[in-house]
Amino acid sequence: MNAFEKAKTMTLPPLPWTHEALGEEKYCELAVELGYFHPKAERDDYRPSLDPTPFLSLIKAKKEK
Amino acid sequence: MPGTAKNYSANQIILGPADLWINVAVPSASGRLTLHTDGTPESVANPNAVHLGMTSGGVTFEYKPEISDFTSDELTAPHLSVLTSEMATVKGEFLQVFNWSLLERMTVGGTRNVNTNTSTGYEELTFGGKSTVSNFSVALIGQDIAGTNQFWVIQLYKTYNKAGFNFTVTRKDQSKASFEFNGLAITTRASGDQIGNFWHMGAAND
Repeated sequence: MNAFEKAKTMTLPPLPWTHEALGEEKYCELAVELGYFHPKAERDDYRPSLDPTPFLSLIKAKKEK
Repeated sequence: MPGTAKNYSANQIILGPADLWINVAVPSASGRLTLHTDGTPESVANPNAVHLGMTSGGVTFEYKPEISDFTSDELTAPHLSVLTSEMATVKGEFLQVFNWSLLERMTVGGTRNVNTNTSTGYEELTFGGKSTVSNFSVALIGQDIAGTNQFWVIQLYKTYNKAGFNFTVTRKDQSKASFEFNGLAITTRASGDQIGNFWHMGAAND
């Protein structure tokens, strides 16, 4: 299953996708499941923003419901 | 039989200037940095991006592979070459040394403190005692010479400023400080896409 198909099965949070806004748990879930990287394999102060652009249509679609 | 076409194309050169951004977002697998139509990082996707500002002489990108050649006693030339390490850096000298958001990133062990009181407020950077290195993503963005709304991007996903921070203060010249962002691998990204990317908008140029 590619990242976009995987995203369809998930509850995507609103923007922005920063670590501060998402919290550690949701940040790690998105980073791993949507193919960014595995945060737990990095130091805990490396938490760059995740570019949500490939999944924007899914976020908007869920907002409209 | 006909000859082969030569490849002189004025649209295949890079002519600056370009802008360097730090703390940009990391793209998903097979993704790329999201740009606004003016060639800056799109602000919703990159809410923490900071512009490095002016540089004294532009920015240099370097990708340097280290290759081991294997030889044999029987042959005069190597029979196998293997890529053993890769270095990717973005470096130059920045002029806006009086910007504390930048300083915090440039001094690997620095901590920025802000007091917003209107009469006693200040910004400061303290340093000394940290042993960890904070990492962040950087992107160099320039305009494609072939199109006004076309841009190219060099992004390093995970870097730190190897050059530290130093500047000279003199009445004869503006202060400037060297920077060298050293690209590190994000080991959990796919092989071949662990350090960064270099891409341009639009159709293939060749």
